[in-house]
Amino acid sequence: MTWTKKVLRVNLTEGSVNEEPLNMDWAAEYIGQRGLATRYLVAETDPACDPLGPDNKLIFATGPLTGTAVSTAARYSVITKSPLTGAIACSNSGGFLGAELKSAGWDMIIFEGKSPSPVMLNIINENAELVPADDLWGKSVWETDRLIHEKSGDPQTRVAAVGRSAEAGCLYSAIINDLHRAAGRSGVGTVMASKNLKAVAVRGTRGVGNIKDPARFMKSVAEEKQVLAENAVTGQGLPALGTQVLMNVINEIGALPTNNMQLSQFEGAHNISGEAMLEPRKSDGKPNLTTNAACFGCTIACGRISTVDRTHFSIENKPEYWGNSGGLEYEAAWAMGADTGVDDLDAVTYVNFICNEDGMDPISFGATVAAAMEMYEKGAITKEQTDGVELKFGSAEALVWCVERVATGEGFGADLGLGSKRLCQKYGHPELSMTVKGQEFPAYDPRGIQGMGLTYATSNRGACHLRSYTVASEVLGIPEKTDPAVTEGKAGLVKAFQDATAAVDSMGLCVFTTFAWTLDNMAPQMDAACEGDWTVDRLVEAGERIWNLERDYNIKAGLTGADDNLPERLLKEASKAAPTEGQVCNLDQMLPEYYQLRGWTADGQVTDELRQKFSLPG
Amino acid sequence: MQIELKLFSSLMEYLPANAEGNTLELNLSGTTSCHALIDRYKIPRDIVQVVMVNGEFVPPEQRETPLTSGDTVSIWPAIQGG
Repeated sequence: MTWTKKVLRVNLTEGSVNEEPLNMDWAAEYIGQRGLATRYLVAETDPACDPLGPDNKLIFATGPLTGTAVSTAARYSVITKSPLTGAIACSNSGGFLGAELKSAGWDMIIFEGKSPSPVMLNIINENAELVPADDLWGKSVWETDRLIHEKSGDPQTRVAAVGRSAEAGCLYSAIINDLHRAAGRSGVGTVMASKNLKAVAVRGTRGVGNIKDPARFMKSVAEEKQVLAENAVTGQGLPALGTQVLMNVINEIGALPTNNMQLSQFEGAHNISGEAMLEPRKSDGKPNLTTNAACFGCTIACGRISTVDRTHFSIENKPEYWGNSGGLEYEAAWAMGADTGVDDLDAVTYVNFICNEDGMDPISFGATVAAAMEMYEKGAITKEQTDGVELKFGSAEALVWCVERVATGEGFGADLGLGSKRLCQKYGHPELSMTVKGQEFPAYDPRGIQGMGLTYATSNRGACHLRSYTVASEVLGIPEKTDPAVTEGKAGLVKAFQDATAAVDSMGLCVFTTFAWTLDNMAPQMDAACEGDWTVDRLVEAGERIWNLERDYNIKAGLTGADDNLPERLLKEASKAAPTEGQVCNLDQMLPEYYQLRGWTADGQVTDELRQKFSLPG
Repeated sequence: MQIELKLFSSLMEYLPANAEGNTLELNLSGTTSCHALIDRYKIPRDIVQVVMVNGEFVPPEQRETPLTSGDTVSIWPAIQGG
């Protein structure tokens, strides 16, 4: 088992909360979490609906392994239609909330409709109720979390909330749980706020004990935890420097997008790197990094807990930010650092704190500021918009000014909250938006890492590195080294990563396990825990089914093969960094082969044959 | 020959005291190779994962290849991210 087989359906329009059985036929095909919740969304909503209207639904979903003893089984995902992209949104988060929800007895919460006034959902095991949240509206995530804990009196209550940015309509607002873990991408927080849903508080004490074969399960779990512990990446590398170890690597190979992707190497990369986070600072002799941290049940512990220098201009008069908090992770450090040309570690750390405090996706935020900076330098945005602030690349002061405005949506913050695509359209430079399907790029220049170009172009949720992380193979040699400069073989590599990742995201596990585990390590744990026979082949098949379901949703939402594209800058303006000099992303050499491998039509449509093969809904 | 050697992440502990940050500027007589540099600073070869010369990945079987004066050699242990 391990599915609790219970869904909590919350109708926000009516204010009703009801229990219903989980569709186990769908669970057998789509596993849980990402896959299963997408199946529900497809069944219950019109893909053409307004993402911010009452017809869109918002689903919090755990996987069958979430909350179990399997390492990293902390995960939950939020599935909805994205207001940023108009495509499927699926944002995955760690921390403790997912496991708590499972322990309270729920696989999934489906929010539908729109509440007439601000509410929050309070769950204590099988008891769930909507309660007024007028007192929380207008508060940051951190203040909301504090007030909910004050009321509950239970420090183990887990809270997911949206901040003021989402209330103000920022299109890339996140849902933050446990203060600094985020269902970060594609504006899932914006959808939550559009429903007048401020927070979800969960306390679960029932445990997750319904394991199919407990003895085999515990043996398998112990063996596979040993694999993670003995692997140099998951046992040593990630705990020591976290994802931030990548800053110098990606810069050295000439694939660190800089200044809104005009350049592919950043002179100040070291200053915002994982190594720099360990260096004692002059003011108090302490490093930026305080410690690493783990999500529920995780034996890797890649998370970063850090402080900002108290003498730094951003917080010298704000003692509320003198303590420890979450970050920096690599993607955030890149977006708010290299992509804006800012190499001030304290500024970037502070800005990351604010993204957590008021619930913004730091990747989209940083990349949008970068686009604004380029337009400022071109004269399309002027001091009239920025209240006199010089919005230039490299300005830490400008970056800090921007985050404080997006957090509340005031002034130019409302424009920055539109995201890069709409901002660039508004100011007459659509070509400067570094996005796919309206979502901002993460931290790898596809001119230097060809597979990531195809990854970005074909990602079902818009530009995203987590849908197929070919960096592992193309840069770091895991599971085997491929040449980042060539396109040959990348279509197959991307498809394999996409399908496997869809399965991992649907079981309740963290994708970082895949640096040491393959599906060969996961299937035995899944099979010992869950009813049905779970083999590697079945997981791969489920992954491919999920990918096609997401694709089909997007097509029905109005996207086409033409949306599987990259900005011209990456296709025509060659890299100027020495290791990748002269290279562009040769997407046209990979995309047709990718469609062919997927079994799609030449214009990227899912065929009837595939619908039949995977029993996709019509 | 002039070589710039950069050690990253946990390999920084193998740097001698005269290193600046994570970087060593070396002035060597005769020829050298990536493996020779790894051995010179007593870095166990089995903990080295990524070696780059001027930003280009050098697979293990090519780490004996002689370096050219002016090369930058960057070395990491097992790393990952995302």
